[in-house]
Amino acid sequence: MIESLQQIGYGLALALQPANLLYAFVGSLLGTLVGVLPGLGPVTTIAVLLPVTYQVGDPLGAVIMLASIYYGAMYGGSTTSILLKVPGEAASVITCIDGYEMAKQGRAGPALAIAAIGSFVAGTVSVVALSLVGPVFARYALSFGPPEYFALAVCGLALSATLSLGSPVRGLVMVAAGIVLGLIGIDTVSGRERFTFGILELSDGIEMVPMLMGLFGLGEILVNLEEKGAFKLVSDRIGRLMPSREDWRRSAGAIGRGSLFGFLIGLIPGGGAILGALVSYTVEKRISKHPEEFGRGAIAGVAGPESANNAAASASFIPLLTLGLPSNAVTAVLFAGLLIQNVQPGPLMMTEHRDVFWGVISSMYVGNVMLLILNLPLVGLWAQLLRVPFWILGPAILTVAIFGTFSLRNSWFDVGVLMASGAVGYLFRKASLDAGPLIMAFILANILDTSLRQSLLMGDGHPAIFVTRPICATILAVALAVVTVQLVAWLRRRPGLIRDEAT
Amino acid sequence: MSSGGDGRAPAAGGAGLFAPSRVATAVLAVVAVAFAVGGWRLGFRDDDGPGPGLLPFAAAVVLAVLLALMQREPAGPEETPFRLRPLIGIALCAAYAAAAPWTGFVPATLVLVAGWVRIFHGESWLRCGLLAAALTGAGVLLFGTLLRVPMPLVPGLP
Amino acid sequence: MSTRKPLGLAALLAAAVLAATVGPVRAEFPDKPITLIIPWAAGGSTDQAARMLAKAAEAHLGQPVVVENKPGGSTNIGMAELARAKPDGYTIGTLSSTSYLLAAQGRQVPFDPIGAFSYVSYFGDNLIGITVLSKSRWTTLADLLAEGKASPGKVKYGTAGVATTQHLTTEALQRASGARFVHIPQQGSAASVPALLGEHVDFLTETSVWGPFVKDGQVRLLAVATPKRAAAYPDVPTLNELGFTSLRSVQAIIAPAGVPEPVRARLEGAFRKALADATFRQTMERLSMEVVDMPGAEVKALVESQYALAKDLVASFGKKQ
Repeated sequence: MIESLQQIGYGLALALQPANLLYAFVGSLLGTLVGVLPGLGPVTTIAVLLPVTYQVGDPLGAVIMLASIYYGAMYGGSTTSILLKVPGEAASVITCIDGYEMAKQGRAGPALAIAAIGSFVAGTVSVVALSLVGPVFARYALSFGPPEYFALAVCGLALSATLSLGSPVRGLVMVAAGIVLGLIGIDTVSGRERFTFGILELSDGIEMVPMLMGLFGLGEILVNLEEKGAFKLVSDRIGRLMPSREDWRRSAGAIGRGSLFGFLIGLIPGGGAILGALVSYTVEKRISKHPEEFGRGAIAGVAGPESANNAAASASFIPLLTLGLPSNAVTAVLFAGLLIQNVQPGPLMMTEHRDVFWGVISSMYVGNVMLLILNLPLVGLWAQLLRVPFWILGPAILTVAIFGTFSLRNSWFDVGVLMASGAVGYLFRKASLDAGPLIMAFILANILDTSLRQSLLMGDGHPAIFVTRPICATILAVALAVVTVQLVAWLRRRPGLIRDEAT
Repeated sequence: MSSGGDGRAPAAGGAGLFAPSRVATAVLAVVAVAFAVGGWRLGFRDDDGPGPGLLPFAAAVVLAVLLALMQREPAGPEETPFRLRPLIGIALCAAYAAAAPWTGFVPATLVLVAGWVRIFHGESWLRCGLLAAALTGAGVLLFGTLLRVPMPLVPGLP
Repeated sequence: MSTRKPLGLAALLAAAVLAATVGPVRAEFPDKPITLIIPWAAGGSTDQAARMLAKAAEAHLGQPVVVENKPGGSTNIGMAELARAKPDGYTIGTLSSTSYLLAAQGRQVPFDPIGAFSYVSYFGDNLIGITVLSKSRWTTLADLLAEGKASPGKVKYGTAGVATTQHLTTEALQRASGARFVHIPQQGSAASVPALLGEHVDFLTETSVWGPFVKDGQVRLLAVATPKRAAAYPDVPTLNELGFTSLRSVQAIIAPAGVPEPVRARLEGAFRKALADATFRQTMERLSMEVVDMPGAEVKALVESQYALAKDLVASFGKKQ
C-alpha cells in the first residue's frame, strides 16, 4: 500500500511536468471531440495519430496523449446520446434510453452534467483502484476462460430482456433477433462463413457503429419527420443546467455502483465498457424505488451507465499495462502505440519502464480533473445545440453519421448498413419494438456461441465444465436467479393486467 | 380489405395489412426462416461438439415462436400507421447509399442535404444550397483533411 | 454557424482535386502518389512494418506512398480491392500468408488467390513459436508430442484462429508425428496469450505475442517455425531442424496481375532498397519479424509452393475426420 503511494507520488511528479500536462490536455480535448462526433471513435483517432507519436519522441508524453484520447472519448460519448439519441460511442448506447427522454423533457442540462460528474467520479475511483490493487486483480482476471465468458453472456442476455419498456414478449423478440443478427460473419470455431450471402463486407459481421447510429439516431430523425415542424425536443425550454438536490440524491448511489461494476467488468479481458453500462442500468432499474421512471427520463439511468463505461475504460488499462493483453479494440491500438515507443506492455513493464507505467496511471488522475473542468462549462454550450432548428440539425446529424461511418473502415457498404438500419429503426419504433435489447443481444451473440463451443472443446464435449468451475457456476446461478425473478414478477403481473382490461 | 393506405384511421392499432406491427413481424419472420434454413444447412454437430448451425437455428426458432406470441398481444401505445414523409426520407437515404459510391461524397451529399431540406422543411433554395455546401464542406474538412480519411470526393478518383 | 467559409473551402478542394486528375499525361513511372492497400486494421504488426517500409520506399520512388487500411474478412476485403485495381502500379498492397491459406482451405474468395496478383518483393517472416507454461511438464517439443501420442485428444492448443499459418503448422506437426491434439481457436493472436496464462489451453502456436512472457520466465518456447533460428532465441530449435515441415508466415509486397514489367521492376527495386532503412529494421526487430530480401519471381514461386503445401495438408485433415 505504502509502496503504491510512493509510486503514485513518483508518477504524479512526471505527469505534472508542463509538457506532459499539455499532452494530457490535447488528448482530452481531442478525445472529447471524437467522443461527441458520432461514428468517429477513439480507435480510429488513435490509429490515425499513431504515426504522429513518432515525432513526440518521448514515450511517456505520447502514451499520455493516446490514453487521454480514450478516456476523453468516454466523456464525450454521452453528449449526442442525450441530445440527439445518436450514441457518440458504442458504450453510450444505454445512455440514449433515459438521457434522450430527459432532454425531451427539457432536462438536457442535468443529464449532461450528471454524465460528466459520474464519469469523473468513476474515472477517479477506478484509477485509485487501478494503482492500488490493479496488478493483483489482473492475475485473477486470467482465470476467465471460455466457460466464464459463456456464463457472462448468458447473464447479459437475461439482463438485456429487462431493458425493454413494453411487453416482455416484444423485448424477447428483439433479443432473439439480436442474437440471430449477431451471428452473421465468420464463425471462430469452425472458420466457416455464416449468413454472409457471399458479401465480403459481412464476413466480420454487421459493423456495429453504423447499425447503432441507424437504429437510434437516423430512426429518430425519420420519426420526427412525420409531422412537419414536430421535432419533439422542445427547443425553447432548456431549463436549469445543473442537477437539483433531488437529482443528486437519486444519482449518488447509481454513480457509486456504476463505478464498481464498470471497474470489475473492465478488468476482464473482452469485457467491455458497454457490458458494464448494461449491468449498471439493469441493476439501477431493479433496485430503484421508482422503477417505472426508467425509460421515461430517470436520472439514475444516465448516471449509472455513464459512470460504468468510464470505470470500465480505465480498468481496461490494467490487463493492458500489467499483462500486455489488450481487452478491446481501443486498448489494442494503444498497445501498438506503446510498441512504437519501444515500450513492451506486459509483466516486465513495471520494472523496465517504471516511468511510463506510473506516469500514465498518474496522468489519468490529472486527465480526469481536466475533463471535468472542460466538460462542465460545455454543458451549457451543448444544451444550446437544441436551439438549432430541426431543418439544420436533422441534415447535420445525417451528414456526420454518413462521414463518420465511412471513416471507420473506408467502406461504402457500411454507409448502406447505416441507411438500412435507419429504415429498420423507424419500422421498429412504429411497431413499438425497442432496439435496446436487440443491440445488447447482438453484441453478446458471438461471445455466447464462440465460448460455448470453445468450452465444450475444452471439456471433451461434456457440459460438466460449466458447473465444475466455481466462477462459471456462480455467474450461471446469478443468471438463473435473474430469469426466475423476472418470470415470477411477470406471472404475478399478468392476471392483474387481464383483470384491469376486463373492467 | 383496404390496405390501410390512407393511413388516417385513428384506430390505435393501425389495423390493416401495412400496420407497422404486421410489417415488422413479416420482416422478422423472413429473417427467422432464412436463419433457420441456413443454420440447418451449416450443420448442428462438428467433430467435437455443437456445429456452427446450432445456435443460429435455435435462435431463429425461438424468434419465430415469439413472433407468433406477439400476434396475440395488444398493439403498443405508440403504434400509428406509417406516414409518407419518413418513407420519402428512407427513399432519399437509399438513393444516397446507391449513388454515392459512383458520384463520390461531394455531389451526393450536396444533393441529399439540399433535397432533404427542400422536401421536408420547405426552405428556400438558397438556404438549401447554403446548408448543403456548409455541411459537405465541413464533413470533407473534418474527416478528409483533418483526420486524413481517404475519401472519394468526386467521380473518377480512387 | 457561418455558411460561407466551408463553401469556399469546398470550392477550393474541388479545384485541387480537378487539377490532380487532369495533370500531365505520360511521364516516367511513378509520376503521382502510389496507394498501398494494407488488408489489416491500422496498428497491427503488418501495418506497422509496412508503413515504415512504405516511408523508406518513398525516397527511392520519388513519390509519396499513401497507406490505405482496408481491414475485414481476414484480409479478403482488401485483397479483393487490390485484385480489382487498375494494374498500373499506382495501387499496390501487402500480402500475408493468411490470404492464400484461406483459399487453400476452400473458403470462397472473389479472386484467384495466386494468379490475380503480380509479385513485387518480400520483406519478412513473422516469428511463430510453440510455447507452453514454464511450470508444465514439457521441456522439449518431443515431450509434448509424446504426450499427444500417448493420450490422443487430451492436450488442447490455441492459435489465432482456424486456417491461420499457426493452425496449419500445428496440424502438419500432428500429421508428421502421429500426435493428436485438440484445437481451440481463439479470436486473434492477442486473445491467445490469456488462454495459455489462464491454463485454458495447454500450449500455443502463435506469433511472437508470447515474447514478454518468455522473457520474464512464465512461458517456455519449445520450437520456432521460421526457416532459420530466430536471432532473439538462438537456443530454440526450428521445426525444420527437428524434422518437421513448417509453413512460412509470408509478408510481401504485391500488385494486381498485369502490371507492366518495367513498372513492376521499378517497384521491386525501390522496395528492396528500402529494406536497408534503419527505422524499418528497428520496427521489424521490435515486432520479432525477420527481414528477408527476395526478388519478385522468387516470392511468386514461394507463395505457389506454400499454397500447394497448404492444400495438401488440408486434404489430409479431411481424411482424418
